[in-house]
Amino acid sequence: MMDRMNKRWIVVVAIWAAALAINYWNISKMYQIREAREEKVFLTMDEQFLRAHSEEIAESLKKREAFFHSAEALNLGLLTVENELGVLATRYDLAEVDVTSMLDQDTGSSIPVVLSCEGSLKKIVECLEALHSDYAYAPVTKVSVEIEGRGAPARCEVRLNYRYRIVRPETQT
Amino acid sequence: MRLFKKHSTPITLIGHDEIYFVLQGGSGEGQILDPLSFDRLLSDEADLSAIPKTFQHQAHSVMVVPDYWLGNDRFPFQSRKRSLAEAFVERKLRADFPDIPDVKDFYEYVFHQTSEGETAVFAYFLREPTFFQLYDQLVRWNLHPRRITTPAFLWASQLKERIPDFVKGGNAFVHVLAKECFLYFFFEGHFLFSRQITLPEFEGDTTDQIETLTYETNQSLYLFSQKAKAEVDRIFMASFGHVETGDLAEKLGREVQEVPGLEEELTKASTTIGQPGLLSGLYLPDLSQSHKFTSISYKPMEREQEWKPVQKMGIAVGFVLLLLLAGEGVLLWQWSRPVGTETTSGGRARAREAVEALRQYNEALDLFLKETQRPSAGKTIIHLARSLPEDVWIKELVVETEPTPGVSLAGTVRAEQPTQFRETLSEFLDGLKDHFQGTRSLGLQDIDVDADNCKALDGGRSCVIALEFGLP
Repeated sequence: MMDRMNKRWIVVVAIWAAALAINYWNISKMYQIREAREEKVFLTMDEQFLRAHSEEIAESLKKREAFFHSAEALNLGLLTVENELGVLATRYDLAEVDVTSMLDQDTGSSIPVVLSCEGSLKKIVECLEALHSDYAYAPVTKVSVEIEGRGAPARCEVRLNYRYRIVRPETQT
Repeated sequence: MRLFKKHSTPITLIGHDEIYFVLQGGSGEGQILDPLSFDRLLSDEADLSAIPKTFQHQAHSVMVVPDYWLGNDRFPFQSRKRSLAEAFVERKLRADFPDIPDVKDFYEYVFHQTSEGETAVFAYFLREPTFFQLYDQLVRWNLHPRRITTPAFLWASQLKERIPDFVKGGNAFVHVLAKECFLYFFFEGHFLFSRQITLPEFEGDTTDQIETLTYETNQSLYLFSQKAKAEVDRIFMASFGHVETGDLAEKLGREVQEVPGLEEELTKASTTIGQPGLLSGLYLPDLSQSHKFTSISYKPMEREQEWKPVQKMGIAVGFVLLLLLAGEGVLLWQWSRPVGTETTSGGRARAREAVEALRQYNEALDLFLKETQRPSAGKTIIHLARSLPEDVWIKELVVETEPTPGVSLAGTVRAEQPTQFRETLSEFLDGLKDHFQGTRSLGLQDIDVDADNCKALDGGRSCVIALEFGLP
């Protein structure tokens, strides 16, 4: 007799458990559908945006390239930039020029480079301005200047963040 | 016969040593089938064929057992909670009847409050061992009754309907037949005990019968006063013409009342068992309406019956819900397919491309913004140099453009008079203010002057100063 009652309880529990399970499945399916539709809406909006602003985007991406130095290898890139920095410093009559790369601080897309030099403060400033305007891929992050006395030459240490991008030879820009 | 099969209430009546099967129609009319002795029914060889065929496939409903198979007791009990009362009664029965373990499964109780306000439970229970054997046997054949009652309970339901204030005080009911008489005693509406009395043979007048009846009634009244600690207030009688009510009243020396309309109704519409013995003259009202009379159920079955509608409703509602949810699930599955196809084929690749293009565009904008906001180190030095008064010159200078743009400088200030220091430094601060607009306003307190290390210089004194400030 109790057996019959227990069996009925088992049926009740089984049916309700199945109902709850299906309900849970339905709810998760609803979320999936909603997410998929939202994704579709966002995709459409993204595509519309990309189509409407394709020129600006292309221009921006192109401009962005100026903020990275493309090189086939990091060593080659560093060699180039170290050389260019040295030439630049010399062009502004700066002496005791030394360029050091902090290889241990490589982030994978940028590496600190330190330019040390000595000269008049005016020339140093001119050199910094040239760096700022011509070397977008190596922004100055820190400048330390020491002047021993009034009228004495300034000892300068410029820290740059060399941003690079390793590219295949055919995609190099 | 067809009528009985469709609408009959199967009843089993228990006599001294036999069982009767009765099929009763909705209006009380009945058909009594052949009796079956206990010996035959309870023997090991007995099988379902012992039961009349018409009875074998009927849903069994009511069993009427003799009153003496029933015990009753009154227990003082304060609470009105049914769960507590049931547990209490079961515990009492187990303790009082250790040799009959099944007694705890066959009882009924009512809450009872005396006129003095004392609360109690009035418990009825089956205590006859033969009953339990009989019940087990019927369970084997799936013929166990749902309700078990007694003639006293059936009379009680009739008397409550017909006699005002039956539930107050002590009442006796005398049911006289040709050769025997049944005495029923009720206290405050609850059955207390009954007696069966064999009357002398009728020999022209009823004097002997009245004498016997009077004697037995008086004995029973005394027994009642002992059991109930109260007196019988009223005596009712249904004699069906066998004796006169007035004769008994005269002999007893107290009033004996007839129950109005009872005899007429019984003789007209009800089934009266013609068998001698316990069931002789038993009146069977419509037993299909089980709520009208007190009965005892097998407790586990009663619980099952109580829960059965809940379970059935649970199954039905759950099943309907399950179907609806399953239907919903199928629809959702179908709806999700086109969406899924769109996103899994070319759509996903397109989405990835779009996301990648936007990511690059966002990165480019972030980079532009960052570089636009980055202060120029060269211009900073120029502004600083322009801010310097004649008597201040730089010894050390640090310009940071990231992560927190700022300037930190150490320099020398020269003055001929102590008051000139302040003027020169104020001039320096004014120059900074002019050339570094947007920075935090600087004051003299921001300049750290190393007064301990001032020294003479060019006819005046020079001191080392230090200053830090952030760039916009």
